[in-house]
Amino acid sequence: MGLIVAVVVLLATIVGSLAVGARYIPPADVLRALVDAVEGRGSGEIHEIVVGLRLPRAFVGAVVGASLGVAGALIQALTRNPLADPGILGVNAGAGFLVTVGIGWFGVGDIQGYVWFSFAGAAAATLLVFVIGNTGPSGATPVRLTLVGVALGALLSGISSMISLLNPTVFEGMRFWGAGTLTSRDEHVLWAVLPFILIGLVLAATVAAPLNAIALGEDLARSLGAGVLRTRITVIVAVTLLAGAATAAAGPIGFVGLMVPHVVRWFVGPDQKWILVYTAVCAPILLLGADVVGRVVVPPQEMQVGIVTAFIGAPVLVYLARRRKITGL
Amino acid sequence: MPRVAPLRPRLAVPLTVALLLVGLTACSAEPADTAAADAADTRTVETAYGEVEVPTEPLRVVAVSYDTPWQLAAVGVTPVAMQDYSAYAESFTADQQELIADTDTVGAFFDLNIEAVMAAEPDLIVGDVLEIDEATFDELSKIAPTAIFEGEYRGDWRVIGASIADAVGNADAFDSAEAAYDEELARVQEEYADVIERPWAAIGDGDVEGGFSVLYPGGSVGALFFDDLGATLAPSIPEEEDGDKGWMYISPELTTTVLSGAEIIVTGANPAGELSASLAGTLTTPLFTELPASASGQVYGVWSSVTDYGTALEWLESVEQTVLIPASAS
Repeated sequence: MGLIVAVVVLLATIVGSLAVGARYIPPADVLRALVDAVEGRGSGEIHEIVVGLRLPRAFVGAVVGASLGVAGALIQALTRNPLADPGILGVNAGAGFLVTVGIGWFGVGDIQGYVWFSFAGAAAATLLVFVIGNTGPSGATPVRLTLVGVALGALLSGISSMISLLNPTVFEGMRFWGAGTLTSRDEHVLWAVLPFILIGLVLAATVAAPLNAIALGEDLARSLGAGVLRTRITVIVAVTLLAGAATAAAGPIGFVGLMVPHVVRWFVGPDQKWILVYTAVCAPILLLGADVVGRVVVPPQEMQVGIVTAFIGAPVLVYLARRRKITGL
Repeated sequence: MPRVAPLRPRLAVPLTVALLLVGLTACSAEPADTAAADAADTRTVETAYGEVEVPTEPLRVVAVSYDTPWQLAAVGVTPVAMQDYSAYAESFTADQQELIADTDTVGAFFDLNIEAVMAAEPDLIVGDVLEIDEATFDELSKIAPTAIFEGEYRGDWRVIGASIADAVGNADAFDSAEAAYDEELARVQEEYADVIERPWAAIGDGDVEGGFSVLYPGGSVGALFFDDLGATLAPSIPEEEDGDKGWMYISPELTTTVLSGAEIIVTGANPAGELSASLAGTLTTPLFTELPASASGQVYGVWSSVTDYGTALEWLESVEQTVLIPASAS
């Protein structure tokens, strides 16, 4: 029942994002534009705003939101840290680093180009974190992965900042991508990242049960037949695919992967199967809602969704950290 | 026969005393002469941080603000050092690039290197308050007389340029350049009056992909088109809000709403006429290409980095060639 309600709210949010923005468009006009698009006709300002700008933006937002949320749920389960974020594996920093390289050295100038550099950077960073974290006798424990991810993320972020400050072209390019935005994200971006996100979601579904077992302790998990190392690797691959593709599509957007799984656990408890499903539905609600807020809060300009989620997420994070009992994993 | 002492030792002492007396006399006379000479070689100018004694004819001027080198060059003064513009070289004209290439640097925008200023051995330092706060002014004043000026708004090159020209003793050159610009402006306004009275919009880079900014009268670029040239602001441009900076970001969704009333749209461009990647992308969006101005080919990229009357004349020529002549023919 709760899931049905969540899906209805998500659909309403998507419809709302088609009507509400810098320019309000009545629902009747939205519907007419959608029907015209389905019938292969339609033109003019309303059609272009609804079908050309907001519809692909809504789809990208839903997919990116689901990816970030599920990636957050996975990383919190893997690291046994309810306040962990997908970026903790260096995904955002790796993506940002290669995007700066792409802009500065390869002349990449638009989102279609950023996507591939961003994804490659995210994948490379996560791989590097795993390789470094796996050295030593204790292997890739959650604590080691977290520490290496934070360290590598700080290094790559610093280098990216240095490049941006020294190269005006890079600074101009990163100005748009670096804040995290859904503006001007079209179907090309969606199709570019969708395959990776779908694979990531499938992998996430396969590790839900093992993660429940690991939550009881590694020894108990092994006795229950859950492959601890295999689960960790699968989670890391899934997080890389999901968070990497999401960052490639929309730039670094924080707090979605942190907040939504946490709030979902309040309602569904510690079962990873339900956490992942509800997160996949609720995270897009948050992201699309934040995107709509960004379009109406500072007219006639827009505020990037990454900034809005930060405004929402920071106080929530402070509240969560101050709670005496943080929702357990 | 008695021994006679050698002459040299007997004269050494009185000779030394005599030399000392002559030296002291010369030294005591010099300060008075120098003071008199100094008084004739300096004058007082009013700056943003109070009155400053500057050389009447400065020989080694260091420019410490972004627009200052061009403002000096416009009145015939070549600075011996300036900011490092190498990262932005392509945004400058050929003459400016030549000046950049041949001059020592004193740091970057908002990152002044005080030691480099000192190494340039200036006898006058000039700039504006945007980058030189009072603390930096105090530091620079220890090196050489420092004249820092401000205008009514950021980039108010008319007021700041006039003050800098006065500080280096070339106010006449500034006045001549102003008169030449006013004369040329009047000619252009008369010759292209019908084009100028059509509704215009001036746009710049936006803060999101596909977006743009509208430029208003009174802003550093908007003032050129709407206050100087007298172009008519399109009625669809939203009203400027209080405290705005002369420009305002616009969402891509409002492209039609904001720009549909303009028959002519001008955008920023580099000296080669190339648009920024951001603006070039905005101009290709479906909402923009469907605008009346775009559909009729009346969207023009104009280099508008004016900092003095010299570059203002270049800008005016660029506007005439790029916008007014083609628009007259349409």
